[in-house]
Amino acid sequence: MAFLRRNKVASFFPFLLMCGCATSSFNVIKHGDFVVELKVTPDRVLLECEPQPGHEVEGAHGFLMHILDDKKMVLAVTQFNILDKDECFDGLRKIERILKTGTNIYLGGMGDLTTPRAKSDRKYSFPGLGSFPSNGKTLKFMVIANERGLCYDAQDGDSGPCPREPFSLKNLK
Amino acid sequence: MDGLFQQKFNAEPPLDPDVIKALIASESGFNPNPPKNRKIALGIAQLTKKTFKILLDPKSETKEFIFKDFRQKDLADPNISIPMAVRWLLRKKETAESKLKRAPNHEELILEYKGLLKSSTKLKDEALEIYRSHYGLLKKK
Repeated sequence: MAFLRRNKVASFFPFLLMCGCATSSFNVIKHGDFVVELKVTPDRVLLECEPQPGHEVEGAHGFLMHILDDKKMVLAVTQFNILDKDECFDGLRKIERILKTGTNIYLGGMGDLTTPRAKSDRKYSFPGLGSFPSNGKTLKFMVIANERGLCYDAQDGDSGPCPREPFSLKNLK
Repeated sequence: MDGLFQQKFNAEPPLDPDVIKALIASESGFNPNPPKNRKIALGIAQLTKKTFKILLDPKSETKEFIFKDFRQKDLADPNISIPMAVRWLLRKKETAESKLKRAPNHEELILEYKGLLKSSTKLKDEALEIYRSHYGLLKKK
């Protein structure tokens, strides 16, 4: 069974009301030359380590993020590599921390948001926001960070320089 | 590359170079040695450790053309890992054909390389879209 770890919006939402923090939002801050940079609030991000049953690599998993866009549809931001189970969940936990400690989330990916949509029947539930369909579009996951500088790179994790070019947290401000 | 290999493997028909470029772009973004995920896959084409062993084994499924005297750490060198990945793609073409009962198209070949051809997971669909977008970008140029 796929293990879908959800951002705990139920516990975040009251916090947002009390402190007058950012309301739920999705913005494309850069889109060109196959590079996409998004600025979203944490409640719009779902994380998933999906088992790959029957794969030749024992314990193979795929890492996916599901992002609720401004048209009430869900964009996939996916790591192309097959991951070891521990590697996948280690990354998921580190990204969870980025979501939990930030109010503005920066996402960098490779792809093109203008390409025609592939048909998809999948739906995703975002706590506190509702259930929304996939828009059939996918970005290759490159980097995720928050305004506090916590950063996670798809290839380097949290150990190398982050973000790497062409991505920059300056675009988050 | 002089001295690295002693024989040439003639693939017929040859693979489209853009298939290989799109695969590498998707797997590693042309990083010769991605630091993460080294528990299972290495190098610019993210060959698994299991695949590496097969490619060196004279009794394996690739026995008619194998690599000799290489070590896992050599996969950090694209001059070595890319030819190995191409050899593995050609083997995957055979296994995909066996599964499909016909020649695979390039997308099916990539899915077979990733072990996802017969999968019904979300990753399969998303990985295919990523590969498609990279391949499409190359074909536009």
